Amino acid sequence: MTARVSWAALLAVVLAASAAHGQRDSRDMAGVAGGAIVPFYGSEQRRAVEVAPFELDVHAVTNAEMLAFVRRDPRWRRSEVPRLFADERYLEHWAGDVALGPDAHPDQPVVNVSWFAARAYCEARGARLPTELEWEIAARADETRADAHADPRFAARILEWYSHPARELPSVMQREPNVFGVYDLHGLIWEWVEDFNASMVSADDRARLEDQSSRFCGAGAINAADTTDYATFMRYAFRSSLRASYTVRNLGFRCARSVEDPS
Amino acid sequence: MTHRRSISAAPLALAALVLVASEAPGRAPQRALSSDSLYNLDVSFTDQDGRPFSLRSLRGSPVLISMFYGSCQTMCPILIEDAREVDAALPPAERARLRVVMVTIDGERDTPERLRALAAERRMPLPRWTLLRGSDHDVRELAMVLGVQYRRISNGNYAHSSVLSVLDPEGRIAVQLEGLRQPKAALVDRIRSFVRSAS
Repeated sequence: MTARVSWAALLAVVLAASAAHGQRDSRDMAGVAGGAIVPFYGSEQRRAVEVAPFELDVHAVTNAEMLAFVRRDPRWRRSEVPRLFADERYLEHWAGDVALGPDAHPDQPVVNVSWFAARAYCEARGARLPTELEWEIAARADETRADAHADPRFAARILEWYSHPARELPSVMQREPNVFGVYDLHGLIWEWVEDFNASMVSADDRARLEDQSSRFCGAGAINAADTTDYATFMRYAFRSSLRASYTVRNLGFRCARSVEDPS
Repeated sequence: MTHRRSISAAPLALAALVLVASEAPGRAPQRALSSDSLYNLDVSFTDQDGRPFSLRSLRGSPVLISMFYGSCQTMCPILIEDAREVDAALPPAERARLRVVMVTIDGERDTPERLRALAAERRMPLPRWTLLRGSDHDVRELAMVLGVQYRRISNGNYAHSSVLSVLDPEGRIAVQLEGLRQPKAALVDRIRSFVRSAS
């Protein structure tokens, strides 16, 4: 019997190993329909941008999931992570590096995580953070409609949730999902996106050399798409206050994945 | 005859290879990286000659770093002039110790050829000045660390902020200047202090 290894067997072993490492199969994601969306900021002509269909985690990443991640990758444990990547409040509600403790229930969305940590988690799963437009397009859906954002009652409901934050952070998936099967895009936690700080930069490349506005090309040209959509204002305002290493008590994340072109 | 089990040489050889590869090539072991050093970043950039460039290779020098893109018509040339102004404010011996790094946010269009052409056009003193490009993923990560905001408007067009950062010899952000044509004394003073304390 020859000892020659067949290439097919070798490939199978490599694929199995990489699948186990990346854990591609272990998490529920929903398909979110693509569509045209006018970015809330930065589109002076109100020009819509096309967002391709994508997959989004049905619920935010939980404490339990984050714990499993940092068990596997010690670089992201609380006592190991470089300050460059997360501030001193990173996972402060946990009991320890690899212990949740009484203040962090396994099924609560994980919070006190930085953009870098969120990104690393998603990449370890073979996924990524959603872009801001992807997140916003998913967030337009209610229980029955893919796009409910023109309905003033929808905006009112969201504002209602924002104005009554729960005293204790609930577990994920306690409310009805939206029409895509995605839970908790409103009213549970704020969520990181890949390009959270990219909206408030003007498209106007004409350099304004006056003091403040020279920081951004033509900073005076930013205008919001819909000045009546206060909930969206709040989200963008919150995002614009963030830096990537910040951790916040009610800021977490979920992952997304691009959809391969159907052949 | 009992069947003798032989230890396969392959796993041992592999282990040996991994051990060798994991040791830092050449240099003596250094002090651990500071927790807020940029050189904690795990990114892959290439320079204007298309060669891999390790940010960590800048360690030991003060660094002036910013982000730009080649098709940028008005803002980026001013940003580059701002960097040159910082350079020029240093006495020649101190200037020689400063590394200037410009990272493009448009890696697709700003190929090594284009970067070399840009460097020539703007008379950048390579290699003390270095132009870098990388994947969208890595460029975004660097921008997040530096606090540079940008988004793609259309093909070859970006909206972006201008930030000039000085890194200390350990790669930590020491001082930043946001906006164009700002007073540069703070940057120059810090760079000089780093150069002098390293002497």
